[in-house]
Amino acid sequence: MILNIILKGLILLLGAFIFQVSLSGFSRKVVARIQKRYGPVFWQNFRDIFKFLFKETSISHGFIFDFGVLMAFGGTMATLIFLPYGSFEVIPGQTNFIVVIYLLAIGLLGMAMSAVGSANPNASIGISRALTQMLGYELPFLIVALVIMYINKSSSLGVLVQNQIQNGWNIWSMPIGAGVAFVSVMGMLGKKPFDSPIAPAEIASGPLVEYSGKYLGILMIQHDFATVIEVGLFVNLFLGGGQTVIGFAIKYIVVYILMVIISSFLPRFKVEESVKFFWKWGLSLALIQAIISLGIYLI
Amino acid sequence: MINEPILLVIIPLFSGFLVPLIYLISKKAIKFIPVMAIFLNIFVVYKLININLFTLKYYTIGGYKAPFGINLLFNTQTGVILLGINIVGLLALLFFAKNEFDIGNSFAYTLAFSIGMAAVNGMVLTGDLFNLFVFMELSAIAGYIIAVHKKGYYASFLYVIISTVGSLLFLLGTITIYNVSGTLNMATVTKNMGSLTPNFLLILSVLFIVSLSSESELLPLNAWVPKVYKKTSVTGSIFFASIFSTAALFAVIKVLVLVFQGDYNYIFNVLTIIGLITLAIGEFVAFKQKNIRKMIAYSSIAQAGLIISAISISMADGAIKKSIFNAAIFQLFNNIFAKGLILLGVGLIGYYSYEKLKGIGTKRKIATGLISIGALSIVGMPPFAGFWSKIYLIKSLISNNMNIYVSIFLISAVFEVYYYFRFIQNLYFEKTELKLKLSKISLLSYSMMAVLSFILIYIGFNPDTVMKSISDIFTGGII
Amino acid sequence: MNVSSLIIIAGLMSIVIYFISKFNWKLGTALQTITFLVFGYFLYSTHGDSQSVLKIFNGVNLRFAISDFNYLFLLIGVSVMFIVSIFSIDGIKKFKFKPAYNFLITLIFVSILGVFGAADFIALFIFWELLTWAAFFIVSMGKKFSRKAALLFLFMSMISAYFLITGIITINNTIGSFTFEALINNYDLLTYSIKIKILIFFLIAGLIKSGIYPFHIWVRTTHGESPHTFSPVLSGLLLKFGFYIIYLISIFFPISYIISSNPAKLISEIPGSTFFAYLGGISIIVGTISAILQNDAKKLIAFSSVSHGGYILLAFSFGTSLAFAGGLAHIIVHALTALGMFLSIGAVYYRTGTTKIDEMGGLIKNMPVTFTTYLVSIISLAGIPPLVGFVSKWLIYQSLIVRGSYFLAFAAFFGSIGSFMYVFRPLAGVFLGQRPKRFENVKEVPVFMQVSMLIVTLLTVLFGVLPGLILKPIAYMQQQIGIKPIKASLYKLFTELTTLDMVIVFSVFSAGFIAALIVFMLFAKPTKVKQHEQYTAGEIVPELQTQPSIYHYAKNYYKPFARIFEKFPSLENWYRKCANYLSNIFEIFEEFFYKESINGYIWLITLTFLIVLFIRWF
Repeated sequence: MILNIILKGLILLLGAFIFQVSLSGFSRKVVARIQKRYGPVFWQNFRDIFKFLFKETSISHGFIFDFGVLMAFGGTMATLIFLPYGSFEVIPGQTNFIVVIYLLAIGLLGMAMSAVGSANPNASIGISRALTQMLGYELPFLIVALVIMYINKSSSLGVLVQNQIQNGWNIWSMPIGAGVAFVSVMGMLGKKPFDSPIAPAEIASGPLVEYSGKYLGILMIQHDFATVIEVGLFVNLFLGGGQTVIGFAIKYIVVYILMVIISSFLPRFKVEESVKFFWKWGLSLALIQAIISLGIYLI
Repeated sequence: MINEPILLVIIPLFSGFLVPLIYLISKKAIKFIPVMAIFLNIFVVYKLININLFTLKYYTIGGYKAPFGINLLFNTQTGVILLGINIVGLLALLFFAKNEFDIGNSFAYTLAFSIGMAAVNGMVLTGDLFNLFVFMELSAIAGYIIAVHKKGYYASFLYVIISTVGSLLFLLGTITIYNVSGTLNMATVTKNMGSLTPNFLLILSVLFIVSLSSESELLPLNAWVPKVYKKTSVTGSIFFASIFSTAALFAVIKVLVLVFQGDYNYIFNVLTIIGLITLAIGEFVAFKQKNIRKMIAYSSIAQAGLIISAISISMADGAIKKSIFNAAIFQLFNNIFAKGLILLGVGLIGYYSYEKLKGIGTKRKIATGLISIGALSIVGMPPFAGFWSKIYLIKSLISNNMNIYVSIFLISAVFEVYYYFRFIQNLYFEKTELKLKLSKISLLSYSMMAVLSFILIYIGFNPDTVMKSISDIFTGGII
Repeated sequence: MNVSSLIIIAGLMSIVIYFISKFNWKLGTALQTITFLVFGYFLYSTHGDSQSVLKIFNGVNLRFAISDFNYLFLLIGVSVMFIVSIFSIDGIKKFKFKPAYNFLITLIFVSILGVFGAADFIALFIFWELLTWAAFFIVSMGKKFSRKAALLFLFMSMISAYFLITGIITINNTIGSFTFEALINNYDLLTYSIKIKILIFFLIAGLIKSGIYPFHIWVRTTHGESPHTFSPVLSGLLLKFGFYIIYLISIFFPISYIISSNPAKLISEIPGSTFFAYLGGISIIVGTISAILQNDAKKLIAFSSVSHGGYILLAFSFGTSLAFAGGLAHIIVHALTALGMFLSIGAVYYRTGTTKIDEMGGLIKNMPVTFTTYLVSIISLAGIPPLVGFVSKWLIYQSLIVRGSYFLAFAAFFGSIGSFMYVFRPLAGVFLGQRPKRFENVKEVPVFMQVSMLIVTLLTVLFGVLPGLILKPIAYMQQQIGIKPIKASLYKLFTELTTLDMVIVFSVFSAGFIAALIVFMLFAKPTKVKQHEQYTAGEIVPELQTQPSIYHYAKNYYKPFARIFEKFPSLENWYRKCANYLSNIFEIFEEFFYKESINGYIWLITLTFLIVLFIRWF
């Protein structure tokens, strides 16, 4: 039984790695086409990651620097186990939404600790912005998720997916909520216009400034895994997951490419502007959605 | 023969007469006379309490029966209050004999203290209106002299003026009552008061209220209190705070209960309002004080207001509500010791402003500790005496549905807690001024303070016994 | 061992400890720790009910009891005092009044026993007042501004105490007795209007003591200025007194009455109240935002306590058994977390002499144990599994989802996510980042302080992985007092919506960590560099070698966020303005009534005459 779970976990990790890294490579091509150029080959990201992993030199700033990276990577991998992917669930029955949200936080906390532990002020600024922005995008997302969980009387993602397969996708029954969640996930991924924590030209990549060699490689893999989790959450909550892994993958690709396209032509929000944006538009729309859905549900 | 309450007045009075005679022989010896007199007093009170008489009894003087002669009213409960007053008096006079004898004209002050004690005992005991006037005048005169102790000339002058106004009004009221009812005995007068017209009653009540407020520290005639307390000596301040004010309040209560028995709602309502205003203003002004003696003065005013308003609340609508009445008397009793303790302690240290008293706790640990016990007791912290009196007051007020009064009382209590604790904090937690000269405190003084603290803790752990021993002073019946 | 004998022994021990501390303060504190441990053992081994009567005040019988409704609270109280006492063995070295401090701490221990163990309202009130003045003196022993902070604390506590006594005497008025038993038996004698009055009195008293908005103004200054070994007691324990009162009056008594008149019935829903739930929600939001904006580590944790108090109030006023269990679990969780955070900040102060975040930095190398405690506490505070903070948060969230209340869910999420922000700030500012030169030789704290911090860390992890250890007693307590108990097993969490297996979560997380470690080790070994070797885009920055601390980003850490709230009104300022206004009025009274000249008095007399006549005529 346990061997079965371990095997499934390893397959999942490997599959997610290959899938997401090639997808993000492919998205670079999409962006390039929008910008009227060809772009790199779609397996370019694999090359980047392996180049970094196999570098001979890398810099470490102390124990907490290493420990934080491990915590981030380990936490993200652990979170990956708790999502349903179509019909593929690593540990059947253990797919609780709140656990996923909190384990994601471990990833963020680990990276934050490690980045600040490098003692570079740019990293600290980046982390401070990242945390501030988190307060912005999490709230509307959680409110919409709360509505879904309340209507379906369950906080398990597997059950939510099953209900959607039976009753129709949530994106049709809660369009406003889906829109809010879409923008929130863009915030979670750190895509423009919400990329001020990274802000390449402003604070020298923010948290990532002191990472090199295998650290950077590991963090790139971690970022990709986090993308799988976050976009996967959106697909599970609003697009009905998928009855098979292939169906899940197709919906995932559509959503991800859409996000990449939208962010490729937007500028960057300042941090307080993004928080205000999320609180003003995100919360109010989420609240409207809540009232409407609750009304429909009760009637 | 020893079981006569009149002895309590005669002994100090006699000692007052002894003072000039002994003065001719030895100037230093007179300081022991009042001490011995009060010591004998305490002995007499103790014997009287042991008779266990819980209803008021008339003691005739000179063989003239009531209602024509002067009578003293005594029962065990009155005896307990007298015991308290005399104990604090003894401690104050011991302090005077040891530390303050040489200030100014020692002869005059010794005399004043003796006469003052006699007058105070008389005020508590007497059952006759004009006799009360005499004793009040006597205590006022003693007070004028005591107030001057340590050169408090201006304060004493104010006290003279205000007290005279009060006494005159009281005399006017007494004469009117005599005119109407033909007797001056308090208990008998009530029978004839019913025949007065309402307007006349109004004038009478106003006269009494205003006149009695000067001695008992109520508005409107209590402006002398802060000035006198600030300027007089340590013994004098203890006398005023613990002894005079208590006795005067007790006398006021006696007059109210015995003379105005019946349906005199008007006077009680006005007294309640005056008492509450005094309470509020006293606490609020005390809040801003930076001199410990003025703080105690205003706190004393506020406590007087509290007690009077509680008494008048209990007496409105005819029958006396015993629980409120007894709680107020208990509070009066506790204050005797607590105020005396704080003033004695602060007097021993010798400085009175917050500035000078900063951080004294590190230098005079025991004294500050005992002062803190006194302060904790006044604000009502367990396990000291004041806690129980507060509880009894709140309990009796709420069970009689006096909600507005409870709220005013509690609001002012919060402020009281604040400034007393600020005072204790100032004693302990500030940096002391290193160049302050502190006199040594003798073992005798420490033991005096310890006695007072011990009494407070004893009352704190035995609330029921003490409460029973002062309950129902005037309502146990009169024989 | 019943409570009354424990109280008497503790009272006597306080005097013994005072004198021993005068002789040798370490010995005195050690004796205090052993006393607390022994008492804790006696309490722990008392299974089942015990009643006792204390007769030290004649004529007044104080009743105490250890029973299911207060057993948990007593255990929490004793454990917190024990852990803080271990910390104090070294921690009070720089205090000025050590014997008095130990004496007062033991008095506080007595009052904890008295309040939580009381079966009688008068006993509750006596020890409540004892606690107030003992805590006042301890808080005054702190830094420069602690006198004002102590006075503010006293003022609010007295208001709370007077509301409490009014409520108690109103109960006594109707029922005629002060004991809990009498109240339970005669609960139906209370008319509806009296019930509302009592509820309001007790609730206001409890809210003030717990520091819920809008009564939270005393929490910040008191926690910030009190001595460093006392803040954990304040935050972890004294705030819980208010919740105990709220629990008694709104949950325990109504349900016990229903049970006693209908023994077979188990209550499945507790009467709840929406207003107080919303107050709790506002408290969470205000506490979180204010905490994010603080620069002093202790004041930050103080506001965090306000926000967590809001969680507990939210849970209690929800009215379902799941929420009630979540609230109780959160009391335990918050006690542990507040302990961990305050102890570690106290340890930092012990070595560096400051608690301002922007003055420190990079202390992780010097104080690893302190850092670990702080890290574990904040992970637990943020509610991340597999630590204990997740358990209570999860229960509260589940009840919110079941009930579907949007503002409250929003407030709860806000608090949770905002807590990431404010707990991270001391971590980044104090422990990580560049280290100022003057702190280069700071050492780790002495042994006993480390021991107490390690105990807190271990408990946090233990209760997180095996939540049944705290949930089973809670379920037992619920069952005994008549609420439908939550299902709890050693490592699973159950609700109506789902079940959660904590061991699976923990093992998956560990597996992930191990996998990450394997990947990490597979590749080349990194080179360690010093902190001042930073990426500076090719430019040579000499200050990084000589004065690295100017590159420590800790000042105004959340400035963008603070800009959003610049113009917001502050409740504290409003209260301060009121206090100044009142103070000026009092001065006017003094001048009006007690003027220097004699004329004033004569005219006062005339005025009184006129007023009295005026009243009579109309």
